[in-house]
Amino acid sequence: MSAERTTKEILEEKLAGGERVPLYNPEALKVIEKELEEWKNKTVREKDRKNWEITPHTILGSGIPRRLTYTPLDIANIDYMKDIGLPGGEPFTRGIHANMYRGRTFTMRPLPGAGTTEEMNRKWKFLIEQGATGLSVALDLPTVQMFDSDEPEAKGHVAVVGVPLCCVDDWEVAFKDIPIDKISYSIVTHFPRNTAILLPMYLVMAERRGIPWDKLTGSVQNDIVMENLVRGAIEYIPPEDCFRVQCDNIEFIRKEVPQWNYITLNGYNLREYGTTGITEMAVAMANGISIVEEMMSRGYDSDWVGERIAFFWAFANDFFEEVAKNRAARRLWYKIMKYRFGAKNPRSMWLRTHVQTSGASLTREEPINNIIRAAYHAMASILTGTQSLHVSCFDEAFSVPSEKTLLPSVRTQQLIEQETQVTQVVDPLAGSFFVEWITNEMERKVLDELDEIEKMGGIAKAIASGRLHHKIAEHIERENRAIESGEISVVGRNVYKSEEPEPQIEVSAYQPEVYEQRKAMLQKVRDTRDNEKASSCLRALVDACKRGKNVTYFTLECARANVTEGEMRKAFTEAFGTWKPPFML
Amino acid sequence: MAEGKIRVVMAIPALENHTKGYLTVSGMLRDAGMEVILLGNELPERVVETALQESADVIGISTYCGSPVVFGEDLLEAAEKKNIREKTIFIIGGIFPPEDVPNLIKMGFAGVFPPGPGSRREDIISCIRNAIASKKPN
Amino acid sequence: MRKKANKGFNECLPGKDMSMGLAKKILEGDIQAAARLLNCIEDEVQGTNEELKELYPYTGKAYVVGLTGSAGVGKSTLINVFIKDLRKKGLTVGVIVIDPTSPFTGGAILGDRLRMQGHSLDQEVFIRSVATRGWKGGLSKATIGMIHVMDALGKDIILVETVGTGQGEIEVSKISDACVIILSPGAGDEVQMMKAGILEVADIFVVNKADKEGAAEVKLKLEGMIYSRSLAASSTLSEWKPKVILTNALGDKGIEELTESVFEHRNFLTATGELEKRRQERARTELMDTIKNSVEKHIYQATSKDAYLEELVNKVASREVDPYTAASKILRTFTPIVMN
Repeated sequence: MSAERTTKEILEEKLAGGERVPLYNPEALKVIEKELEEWKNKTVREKDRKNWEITPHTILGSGIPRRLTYTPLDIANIDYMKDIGLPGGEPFTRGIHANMYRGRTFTMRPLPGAGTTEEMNRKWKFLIEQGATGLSVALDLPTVQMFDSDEPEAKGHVAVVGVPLCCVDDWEVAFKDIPIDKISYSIVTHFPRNTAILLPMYLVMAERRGIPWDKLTGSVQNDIVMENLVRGAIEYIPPEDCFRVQCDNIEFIRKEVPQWNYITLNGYNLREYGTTGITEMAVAMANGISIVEEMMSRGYDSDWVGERIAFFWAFANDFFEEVAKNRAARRLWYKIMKYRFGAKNPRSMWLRTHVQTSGASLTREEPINNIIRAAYHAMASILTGTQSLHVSCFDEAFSVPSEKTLLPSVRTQQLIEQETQVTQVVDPLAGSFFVEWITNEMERKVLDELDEIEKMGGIAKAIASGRLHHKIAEHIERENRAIESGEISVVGRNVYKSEEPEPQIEVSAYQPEVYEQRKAMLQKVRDTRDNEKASSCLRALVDACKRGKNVTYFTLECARANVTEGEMRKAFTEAFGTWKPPFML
Repeated sequence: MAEGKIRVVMAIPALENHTKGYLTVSGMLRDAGMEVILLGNELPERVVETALQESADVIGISTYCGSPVVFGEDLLEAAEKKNIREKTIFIIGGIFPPEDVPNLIKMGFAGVFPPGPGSRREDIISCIRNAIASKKPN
Repeated sequence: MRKKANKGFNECLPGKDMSMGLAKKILEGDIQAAARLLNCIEDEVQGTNEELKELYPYTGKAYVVGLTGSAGVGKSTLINVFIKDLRKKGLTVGVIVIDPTSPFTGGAILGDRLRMQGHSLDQEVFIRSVATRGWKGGLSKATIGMIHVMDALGKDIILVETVGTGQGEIEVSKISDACVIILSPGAGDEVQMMKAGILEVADIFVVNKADKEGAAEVKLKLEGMIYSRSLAASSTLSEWKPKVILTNALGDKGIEELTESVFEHRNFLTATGELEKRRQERARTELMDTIKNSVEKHIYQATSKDAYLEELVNKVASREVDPYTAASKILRTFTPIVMN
């Protein structure tokens, strides 16, 4: 599966040589160098001279050292057209659209909420009446973890943080009378396996209503990193099988549901779990690279698969590092797609981003401060031209966000858009000596980490080895210690503490009667379907897993036969066996 | 010479998918000199069976988006059935509504730790140590 | 009398009632009592030996298999499927999983049974996680006692898992009837570097993760070493030649072969009288260790508050007295206490 040479080696070779047109003329640089030296010795205090470079400590930060100031000398080698370019043009450092937000502002996705299928149906209809054109489906925990609502493990979790959708009947109730050919749905299936199980249920629901699949728009997450690295579960399948299911989904969706976004490479949840922005990007891109390789080995070209790949980032406290992150990521992904995979279509070189502001950076102490934090995070992401944004609610740090805290979150985005005028200029921070320097630094460091992962044999093997798990655990432990010792300042927690009482938490309450209703409902599904057909579809699914056929076509047949989610999960386990991630401490 | 060590079984409800709290607290307890037996995602009765075999002093549960009361009830009931409820110290941490806190304490949890100021390293460790001390004779 | 700190078990604390009454319950199959006695062994609680004395006549029935290998070779996952296979054959199983205590904090993370949770509700499988707590006497000190408890509880086979560090393999072989060493593909260099002592103690080699590249190569290298050793060691015909088995714990491959090899090895040991010899050797080790521990403990207790010891330490440090003379003096003074 993995190539003989790593991306870093390939890029170093392909980008070596060639004419470079330096942005700064050598004469000017010489003068600056001389003047800088003099200024350092005469004007700068000795203390500052000694501490010329300091290392910042922040939650989720990479700790890239900062100099007292930056000059053209720090980016002396820059070639404007090659390294920065124009907006909407290669190498896409400045953004993927020429007119950026003047053409289309960033998408604002409202929070989906939780409840039973009937309740969600009402909520979505209400949001559509309010003018929403895109909606999200948040699944409840059993549905995420691929358990039916009536399995013993599901007790206490049904319809608490999302909606239970574990058979096609559920999807029919939840989406009743909703024009799914006109509304784009982001179905938050984090894992490859639950994507393989749930998206077909959505498709069968559409089919039963006579809506052709090419009219459907939306997205799934479908990410092995979420399933095998970020999230805990009682039951996993081995990473290499999980990776295969991820690719089966991509192949199936690309062919059968042409307008659907088949993968969102999720850096966000890994970052929030506990890691730096560098690892966040390196892991997501390593997965992207493994996917393109796998698809090419299945006989498709890189443009076929590259065109709809999207990324999902967290934006956290270290403002300029976050700014640099998005710019560096766009340039690096462009290079990967163009020079490593030979993509021809510019759209497949685009790094599209959805951003959510960091929840892990927020505090329970003085929660109103979180509005300010999230505003800075949001500002950083908008200054770098993100396509879609969700601002975390101020209770995110200590609660499953409530509807009450949603308004300031939406207002933050509207305020930045309507009042600050920062969206008028494309990539307004470009050309700053510091911003360009730190953009280069981030790109270099991401490429180095990417190289490490590739040398482990690509994303699936890197996950299986446990080294990424350990890296995360180390980060969490180090960060906790640094907060406890005060090395990392957290306002309201370890510096400038006040005696303000603790905030109240609002969590949607668990309704015990829902569990009983769901049990009865699923029993009815199993009693009324053609059980012979259901079990032959399950057998075919197991067989497809074992024989290397595309599994998503077989989960589709299962969905058509009213097989439930838990039943399909068991089939996957039967075929692939179980895997436990390395324990992380 | 060896000393009596506090033994803790740490688990997460079967379907819970957030493990950061569980890892963080497990590391803290190890650093406080305790022996932490990691179980990961589990059902209440399996947690109890393990605690019994491991003769654990403490069962620690980390939860995020489920109902801690439902899991807690099942856990304590299973412990009762296996006759280890009295001798075991139960602690739970995670995100839950404030009204659950008194319920969990009433139910028999010696320590309830929602995120925030009362759930620091020292708070959790001293809660365990005090609860163990109070179970000792005299 | 030294009081043990930080324990929650009334039963384990020295009190008016010296007998804990655990042994009787264990012989009736009480898992909870067995679990408690294991704590007492680890914590060196007073009265523990009394319980073990009561159990000893009922031990000696279980077959003890030591399994060891470097971190990351998949020991726990392998043991999990091994347990499954043993249960299929109707055997009851005890498992002792040993992990290191952090030398800095004295705490430990014991994560191995995570991979064996499928057996958690099976009353015939008893799994116990153990931290080394800086055992000075090596593996055997607490582990032998624990094996006795599981044995008395009626487990047919007891698996002892440790991290192999070169020394660990030899330690585990001292307390077990069969010693299984687990390797992973890519351990080729490791095999080359393998100390002679390790090769001597291994009865079965497992190359786990056999689906990965390099497994066959490791197997070949091992077999080569076993062959050359058998040539060198002027071996008699009756000597056991270590087996090399390829397994894939995720897909349950080779597990039955492992079980069969363990049985075959046991039959061999029984037929050749080797088993008796090994167990006699074990009894000797245990007895000697117990003597050593008792003497050490008593001397430590008797002298720890004693100015006499301090005085001697100072004298040894200042070269006034040599340590050999000082030791004789202490032994002469305190041995009568041991005799009591």
